[in-house]
Amino acid sequence: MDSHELSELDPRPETGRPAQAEDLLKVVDLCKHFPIQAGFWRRTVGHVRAVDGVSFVLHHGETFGLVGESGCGKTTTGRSILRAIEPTSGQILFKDQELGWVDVATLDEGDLRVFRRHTQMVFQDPYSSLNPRMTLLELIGEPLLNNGVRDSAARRERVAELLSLVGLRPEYIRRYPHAFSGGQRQRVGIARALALNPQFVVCDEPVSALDVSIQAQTLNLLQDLQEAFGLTYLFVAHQLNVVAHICDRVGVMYVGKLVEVADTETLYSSPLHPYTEALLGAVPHPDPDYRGHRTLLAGEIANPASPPAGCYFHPRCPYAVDECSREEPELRELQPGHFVKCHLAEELQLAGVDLEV
Amino acid sequence: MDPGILIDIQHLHTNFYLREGVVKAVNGASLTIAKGRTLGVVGESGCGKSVTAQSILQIVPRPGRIESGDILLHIAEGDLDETINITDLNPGDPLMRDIRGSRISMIFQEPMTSFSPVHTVGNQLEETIKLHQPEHRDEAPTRVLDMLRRVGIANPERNVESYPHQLSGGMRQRAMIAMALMLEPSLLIADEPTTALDVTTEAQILALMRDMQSELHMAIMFITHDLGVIAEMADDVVVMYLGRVVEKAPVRAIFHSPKHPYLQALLESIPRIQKRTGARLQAIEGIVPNPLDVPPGCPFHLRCPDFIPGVCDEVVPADTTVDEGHTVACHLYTD
Amino acid sequence: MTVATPQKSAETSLYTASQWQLMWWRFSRHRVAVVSLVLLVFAYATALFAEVVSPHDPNRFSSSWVLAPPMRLHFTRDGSFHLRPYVYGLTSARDEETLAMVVVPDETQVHPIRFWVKGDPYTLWGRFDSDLHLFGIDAWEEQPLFLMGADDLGRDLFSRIMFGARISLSIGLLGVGFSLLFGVVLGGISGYYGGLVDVIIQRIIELLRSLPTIPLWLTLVVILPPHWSALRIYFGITLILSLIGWTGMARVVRGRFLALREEDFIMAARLANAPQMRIIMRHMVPSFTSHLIAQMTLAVPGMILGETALSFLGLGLQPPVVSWGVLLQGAQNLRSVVLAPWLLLPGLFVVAVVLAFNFAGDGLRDAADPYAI
Repeated sequence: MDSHELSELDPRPETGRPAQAEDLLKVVDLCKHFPIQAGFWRRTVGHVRAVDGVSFVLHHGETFGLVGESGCGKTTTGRSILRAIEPTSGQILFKDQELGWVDVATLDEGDLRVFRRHTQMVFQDPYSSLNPRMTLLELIGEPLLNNGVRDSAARRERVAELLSLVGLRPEYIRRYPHAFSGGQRQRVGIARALALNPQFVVCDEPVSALDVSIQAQTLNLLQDLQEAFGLTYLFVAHQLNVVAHICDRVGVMYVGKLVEVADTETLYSSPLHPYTEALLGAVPHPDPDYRGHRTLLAGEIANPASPPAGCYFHPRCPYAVDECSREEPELRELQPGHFVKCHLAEELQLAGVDLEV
Repeated sequence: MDPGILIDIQHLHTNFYLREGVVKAVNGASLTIAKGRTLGVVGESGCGKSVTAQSILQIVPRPGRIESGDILLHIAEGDLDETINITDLNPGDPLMRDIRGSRISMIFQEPMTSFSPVHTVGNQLEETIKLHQPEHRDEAPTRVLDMLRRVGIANPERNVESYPHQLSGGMRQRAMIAMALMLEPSLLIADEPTTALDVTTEAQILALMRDMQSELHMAIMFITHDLGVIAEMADDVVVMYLGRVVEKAPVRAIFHSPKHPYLQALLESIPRIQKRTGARLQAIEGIVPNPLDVPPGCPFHLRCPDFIPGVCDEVVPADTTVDEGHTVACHLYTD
Repeated sequence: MTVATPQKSAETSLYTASQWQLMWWRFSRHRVAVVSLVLLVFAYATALFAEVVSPHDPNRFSSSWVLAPPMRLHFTRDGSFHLRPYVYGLTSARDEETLAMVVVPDETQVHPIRFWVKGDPYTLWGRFDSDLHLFGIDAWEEQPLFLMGADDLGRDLFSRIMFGARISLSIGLLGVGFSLLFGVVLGGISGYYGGLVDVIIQRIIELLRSLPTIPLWLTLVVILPPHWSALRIYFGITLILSLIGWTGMARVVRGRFLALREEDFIMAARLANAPQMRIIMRHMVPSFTSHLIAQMTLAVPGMILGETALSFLGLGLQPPVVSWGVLLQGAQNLRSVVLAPWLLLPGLFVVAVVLAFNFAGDGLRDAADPYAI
């Protein structure tokens, strides 16, 4: 599929520009609805709209951050893109190094296997993501074994190489995960993701479960590997300071929808969506003299099974007007590369974080 | 004892006796909690910050045990002026139970641990009054409603009848705070109370805790691994590493003139929201040693950039006062 | 790039220990469970070699020794201690009050107990002909050795318990084997595929579990044709017992499958292009085999008790087949309990084995997941 065909697949105006050379991934109107089942025969009585019409573009070699609070659908988005879970609808256009442009959402078994050789995932929980019954050799060797590296000596050599790449001693190859601390396990998870030299890695909260002093090591490792292998990251996280550090561009999600997308500096210094402002204002700063903007949001995150009418954020939004409760705003490109989903985006003067450069 | 001090912990040792060996979870920690102020206790997992709090309440889970040291609680109320050494009491002592109920209370990361799932929130709150202040049992229902209102629970008349699982995470956290403050304790121990919450909810709960503190004039011992929360909440800060207190100071000194290499490195290593250089972070090398096999000397020497061979790996550094109210346990500051 | 330093206390063997090693280490800390396991191994070994271990043919009867009491083992003779125990011979005498014939020890006959003596000929496992017994007395032809007394036909109760163990203990294992087969297949289907299949299987399990077991067994036993051979009855009973037993196993398997399907490491394996079969066999099954073994160990006593109950009620196995339940059936009336309380001894063996299974099962369950903290 070439880029011309691609633009025809892509009807939405805000993402409708033809795919450009630097694009690696275009997500168009992605939805994932989980059925709610109840009763004796477990009938479906409703849907949790975990991801509800999300569209964004990833450029080659960049780190795109997805932030939001628990239940906003950021993890589900990351997993749907890799078809780790089946998306309900939408397009996931990916420029595979072998297959060319494909829609991941509709790939058949065979092509999906090819796609999965070029994409990988780093999980949040370094404990549950490693099978405790396998040695590092088997764990990191798993993708090699399943993708044609049948020779066990070659596999061992590659695993040892990967271990030293992520800063673990190759002698540990025979050890089981229970021999390692959380940070070391996360390195094992990263080594496994890199085993087949992927193009694209979804990092699902890769440092949230780690201690503060280990987070920095792990972030550095991810950055080093990105530089060395030209990786593209989708970085899912809830820690805004971590996202600010590692991401080139950021998308903010609220109850299954993207509410704002911009490059990191712009988003943090001059947010256009009230929710982004509130998120930035809620982060505690490690400086007792910090006197930046503080916002206290009232109320709680909407229930994704029965979201409010209009803009999902309007019940908590300090700036909400009548229109917000009636009509859902579109995601609009207000400035080049800066998308926002808010009726009042032009009028509001929102506070961001003062960036020191 | 200084009249402004509520709790004075001296050389506390709390050990866990596991089959694999002894874990010295708290290894000679000393700290004080001033009346009406907030002490932030910061450290990574396994540094002994939670066990210190559990020791104050004598609720260290088995196979853990307070080995030695003093925990002095200063009570001054009207004519009453006495000092109780908590380590002299048995966990089941009636006096200890009284302290736990009405003088010191605790809130946790997971609010469900302090609630019974089979009773309504209202019943459980009333129960605290009936148990500790039987003379006030008649006013219990009104006091419960009043407290729920003060902690910001919407529609308290209805929510008083709710079961804990029917409340949302943030509401549950508020209900737990209400329960902890029911008897207006002089110390509230908060063990990572906002770690499981989203940032916007966290901000709400932190604001609530500050409001309640100024209303009730209680001291707070705030345990967290998040330096941002410490900066926001604490008046004084204690930094712990592997069961030892490595630095104690007022909050500004902690952030503006940190002394211990561990604290310096920790402050350097956290990504900051307003500093977006894109450069590498200053990571602390290595990992926290296995608590079953703590290295001799300074617990941090294996990862320390200023390691002095022959000193740091042999002698445990003593507390050195570097400034008014600012002490550090590091050989770089002893002469 | 930073290099994470190894933990210095590297007890490397722990770090390279597989699941089964970790489990064994954990299990071996559980004293009672280890003792129980040893006891069970011993019990199954004796059942396997019942012909050799028992001093008599279990069906050899004699009107002379009806309801003979257990013989006492003596170690001292003429005031001195002997390591080799001996027993007195038996003789019939008339009770002076009731005038009934009773069996009493005859202190004039001394029979030392020896290892590997000749006795009743037997065929071990239908293969090996022999007449050597593990222990016995030299004068085996005219004098019996009744360590646990004799029953109302003058048969040696100890030998009968040994042979009964063979049936009672194996019915437990076989029944659990059947349960495992049904349980793993149906539970696996239910958990792996989910959806309507899962709903139907779960409802069937709930239905089966809600039926009272004893009446259900009774009904099913009545269906077994009376002309069946003892062996077919035996298999029939085992199947009936496992009809309920499999439901528990199926629930365990389904529960584990459901939990595992959601585990991150399963998702990681799928993203690594692991084939379906490899995910099931290499990732899922090893994660619950240990739980399954523990569950099986805890299910065996139910089977043993079920057989005992059915046979005791006269509805299970019938004489001449010997099982512990059949033996207890012989002790059903008050007269035998008063006059010959040793007939209740098989009950003691049932209790001991059931307890041992429960303790060992508890130990296995605690050790089953060595990765939980």
